[in-house]
Amino acid sequence: MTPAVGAIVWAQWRTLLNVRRGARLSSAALAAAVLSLWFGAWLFGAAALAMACARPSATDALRTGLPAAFLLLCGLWQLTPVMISSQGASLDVKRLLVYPVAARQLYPMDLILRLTSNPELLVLLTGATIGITANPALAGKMAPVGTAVLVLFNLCAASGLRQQIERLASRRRLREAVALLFLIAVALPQLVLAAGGAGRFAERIAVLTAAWWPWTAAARLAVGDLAPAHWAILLGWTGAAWIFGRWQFERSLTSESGSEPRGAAPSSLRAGGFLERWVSSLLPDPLAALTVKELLTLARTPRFRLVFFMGFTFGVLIFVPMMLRQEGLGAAAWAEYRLTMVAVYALLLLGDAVFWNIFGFDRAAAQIYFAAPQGFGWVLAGKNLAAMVFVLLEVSGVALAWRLVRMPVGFQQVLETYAVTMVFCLYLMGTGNLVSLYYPRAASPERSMGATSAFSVRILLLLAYPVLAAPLILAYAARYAFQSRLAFYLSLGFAAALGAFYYAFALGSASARALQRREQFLEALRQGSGPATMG
Amino acid sequence: MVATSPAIRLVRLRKVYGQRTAVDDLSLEVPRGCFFGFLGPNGAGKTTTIRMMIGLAAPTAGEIELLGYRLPEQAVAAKQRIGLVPEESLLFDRLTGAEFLEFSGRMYGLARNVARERTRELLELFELDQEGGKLIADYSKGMRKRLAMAAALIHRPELFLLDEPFEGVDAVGARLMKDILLDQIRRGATVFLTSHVLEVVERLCQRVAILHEGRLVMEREVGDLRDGGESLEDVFVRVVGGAKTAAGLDWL
Repeated sequence: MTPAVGAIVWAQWRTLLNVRRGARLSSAALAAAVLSLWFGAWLFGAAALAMACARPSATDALRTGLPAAFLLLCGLWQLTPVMISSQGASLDVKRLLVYPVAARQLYPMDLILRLTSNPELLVLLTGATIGITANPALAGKMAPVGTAVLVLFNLCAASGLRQQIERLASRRRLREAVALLFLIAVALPQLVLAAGGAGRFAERIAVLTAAWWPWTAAARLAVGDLAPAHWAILLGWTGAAWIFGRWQFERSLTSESGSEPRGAAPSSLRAGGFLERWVSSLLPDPLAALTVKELLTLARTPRFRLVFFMGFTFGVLIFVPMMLRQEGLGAAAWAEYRLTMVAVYALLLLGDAVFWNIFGFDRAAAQIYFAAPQGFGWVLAGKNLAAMVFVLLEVSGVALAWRLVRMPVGFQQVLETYAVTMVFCLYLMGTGNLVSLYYPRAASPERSMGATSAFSVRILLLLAYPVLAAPLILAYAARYAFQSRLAFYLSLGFAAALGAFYYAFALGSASARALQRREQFLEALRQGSGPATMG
Repeated sequence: MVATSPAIRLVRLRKVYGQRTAVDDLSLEVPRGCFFGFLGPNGAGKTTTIRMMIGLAAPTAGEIELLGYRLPEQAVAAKQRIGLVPEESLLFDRLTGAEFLEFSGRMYGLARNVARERTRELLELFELDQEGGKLIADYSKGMRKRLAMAAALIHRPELFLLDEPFEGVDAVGARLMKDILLDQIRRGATVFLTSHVLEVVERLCQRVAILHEGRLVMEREVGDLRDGGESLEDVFVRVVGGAKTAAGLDWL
């Protein structure tokens, strides 16, 4: 370890200790409980996988199925961070660049930090590897080495790929186009597969698990087939991925995303006047001013634009192939819920920006909210109204994209999708206002990718979604039980009334807490972190 | 590297962002041991120039040589000898002041015990010893600047790149910083300073350059300005354009 790398590791360690020191006991306990619950479930899954793989009866299945399983693992490794818009930790290169340290020293460290983008997969892979090694019918003693090299391959490839995408996405006007191209590339295999029908699935998998792929070589090594060719293939791919990753890392070091001065006014600036007039004609000040400010800010924020765009493209690209396959299998019962499902998925993508960390992009400017004469409730209401506008636009985008890919969609479905998402929004906004005040986090609006809330908060919210969606689930249960759309809409009406009450209560509570917690709140928004950053 | 080479040599430096040229054909030479003032109105390209010099931005064209080291090829060797106080905060908020100084020292290759010892001395010098255990996030703007200045000094650099170092610093702290910088000049170091406080620049600097809309519009010895009977402020306003007044705004 070079002195510079040692210093960075030491500083990051001190940072983590200091964060813990500054945290309130209740927050720390909650975060620990949430993380324990989450990783406990994955550890349980890994233990079950280890036991299954350790059985001699699983030997044949492992020999034939492991390449496909490793292929799935590699696919998920590369895809999940993009799907959930979270990339784990990485070096805060911008702050480290001023020091006399060469890129070749920082790259391995950045790779190690990237392990945090997929800890769940790593837990599962460890479980499977332990099981394979313990399987008496397999000579799997080299399984840990093979899977470790496969992990390194994935880390390098993911690092390089994401650096490349981030850099392209940081260029104005290219961001959304790059995102769309990438998403199409990601979804293409699914679409091709769906178009070809389930019968050709095995044929396609055979091509993707041919001997020359790294996941196949790693799988062969794991089950005890230690032919030099497998080592050569795996190490060759890993070496290529290392070079690619490092090349991209070094290019990113010298790139200047977010530092360029403003040039000509983009179209979102020119559209501002129209938006201001429209909202101001509907709402009184200060609500109109706050809503317009929020609409314009979000529309000009690259990170928000990307997730907004992903909402109605990625959702459709991911779900359409799945649904086409379902069509083949005759599962038409889900047909009427599809559009709503895609719209709710889009809401999850928008979550960070419009629900869970609504002050993240405001940073130090949030001080104005406390200095200005209007109450804090107006600020929250303005942000929530802007969120509603974007959610409506998002749902419209989803419906339009749905029509463009010629999926059947009727007026009833569109109406239901609007109604369900609006009601769901009441619960999300009520909870989001509180979460945004209790767990604010500064976010860079110029970074196109990455989550803006803490990992433990995201896990907590993931667990909270079913609870927040419970009134909607009950409405669907009523529809199923009574086989009646009327029963559904009556239940949805009740859910809306309850949601409105919940929202009003949460808004009042959040406004009061904002004043009490304003110092911690503003401080949290102002802060950066340590040499590593979460994205 | 080459002791006779200038501390800073910029040759036809240019930086273009999209349609906008931030720095245009900038050629500049700063001799070693010089206290150099780099001035210009907001958006003139001063910070972009410093960002290019420390490797945070890549020039569109032109050459940069610091202490005889060519950038970017010899960037690591050059950075080893540079002390930086950037305009934007590059501090790590979740470290304490003492931890950050120790980190900086180690990043510049100091042994851990040396870094720790210098940290203690620098905290005392900048009157931050009482605050050394506080998180940087809790520091005021002036304290952050003083800490950045201490971090810039810890490895005894040969060249200081200072972007608005006195901004937000109280009079006592600013005086201390100025005295330290003058001491550094006396021991042979070079200071490259940007500041909007022209009186300070006039008092400290031996030579000044004025950048306007990315182009170098004036470079002169401060002594020559005095001989001409003009203050630096007069020259600055004349060179970059006249002052506006609010006379037309009746409501004001």
